[in-house]
Amino acid sequence: MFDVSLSENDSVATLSGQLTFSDHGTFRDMARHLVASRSGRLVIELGGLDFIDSAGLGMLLLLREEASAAQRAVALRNAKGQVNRMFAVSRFDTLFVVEP
Amino acid sequence: MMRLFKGAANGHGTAAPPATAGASVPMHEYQELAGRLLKQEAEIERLQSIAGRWLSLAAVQQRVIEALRAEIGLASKYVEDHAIALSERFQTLAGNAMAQTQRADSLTAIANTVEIDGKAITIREIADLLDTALGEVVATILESVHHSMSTVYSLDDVEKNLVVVEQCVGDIDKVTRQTNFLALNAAIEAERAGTAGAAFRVIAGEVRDLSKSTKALADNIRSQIGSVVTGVRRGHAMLKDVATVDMSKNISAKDRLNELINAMHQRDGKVGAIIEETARAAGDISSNIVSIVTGMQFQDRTKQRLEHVVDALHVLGDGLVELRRETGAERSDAAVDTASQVEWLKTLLARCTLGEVRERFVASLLEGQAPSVSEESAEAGLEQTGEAELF
Repeated sequence: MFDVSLSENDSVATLSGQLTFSDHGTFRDMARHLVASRSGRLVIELGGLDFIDSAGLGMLLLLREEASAAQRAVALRNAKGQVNRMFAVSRFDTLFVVEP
Repeated sequence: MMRLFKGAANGHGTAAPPATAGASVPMHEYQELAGRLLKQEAEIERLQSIAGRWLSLAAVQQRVIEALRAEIGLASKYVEDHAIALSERFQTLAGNAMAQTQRADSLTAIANTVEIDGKAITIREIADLLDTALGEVVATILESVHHSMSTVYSLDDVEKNLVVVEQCVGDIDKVTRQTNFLALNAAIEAERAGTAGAAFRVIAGEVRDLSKSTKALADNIRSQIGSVVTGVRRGHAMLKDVATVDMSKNISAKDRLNELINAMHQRDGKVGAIIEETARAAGDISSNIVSIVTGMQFQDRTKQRLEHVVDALHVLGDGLVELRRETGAERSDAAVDTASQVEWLKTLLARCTLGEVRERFVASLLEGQAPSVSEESAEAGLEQTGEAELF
């Protein structure tokens, strides 16, 4: 499930449940909406996300690519459990701003 | 006993008056003089007895001084020899402590490395290599997933475009149907017009044929779109397989690697602490040994002081010898009256708790033997008695 909220400083997308291949269409629409928001940096709030697969990582990489084209940084916030371990093994801290 | 006069004493204890050429001495004066002489003779005998005891004491003290000089010399030599030996042993001990530290360092280096193709590689470096290898594998997976998802997005776009194209084909169908309907109406009107509508009938036929061709073309396009959609969906499924990689094993490997690295950190810390503690202890041992060796070097000062004591005793002994020589007592040296000195000699010997030393004192003081003893026997005696008495 995706929920996008815009603030004065950041464009925050809150993810919950699972992020897998089957979510790519919805995620892409959300990503486009987020990048087009023109509001500060992009923050993906992950506190409610329980699981992410490799396709989900790929989608985040494409979001980063798209944001980079728009000269905006992407921050991954509050990743836990399996999501955090996936980020660690993928060394996402070298690609994204990973916030606790 | 030495007597002042050679004359025989009478039965009353008085001496016969000497013959004189002058006036005679009254008897009572003579008797008085004789009495004084007898008292002086007794006093002289008492003084001679005291002098004899003093000389006897001097002779024994001379022996004591000689014995003490010999004993001090032996003790000084014994301490000097053992101080040197102890110093050498402590130096060896210090060397062993340093060697032990170096061995511990070598052991740590060996424990922390493995040798591959003659090159020593630390276990930390191996862990880093494994981490790098795992990172490269995951990076390859991510790159593949990245491209796959990018292609999926493109296929999504294609699929959306195909929907639009399908809608266009639907519009073409509508146009074709209307065209066909118009051609039909035109043909009907041409028939009504008779011969005048002959040309119009031909055109209506052409339009109908054109409509049929357009419909066939639209059907063909729809069919092609169907094929493309099928291909896109098949590609979608394939890309899903490519993009969806089971990364649980990578995560497990990463977790194990992190555990390994943490364990290595902890082990390095413990080994480092032990080495540091060992080095500190070795340093303390070395420092203490240096202090001990320095302290033992003060034995030389002790030796010098003892030599001063021996010198003083030597002077004292010489003084006694001179006294005995001046008083003519040295001639009776062989018969020193130790009997009169027995009590204080016993007291002196009682203070000597080392049996072997006491035996030497007895031989020297009571039996008049020369105080010289061999160093070996003295040392053996000291060790023997020392061992028995120390433990």
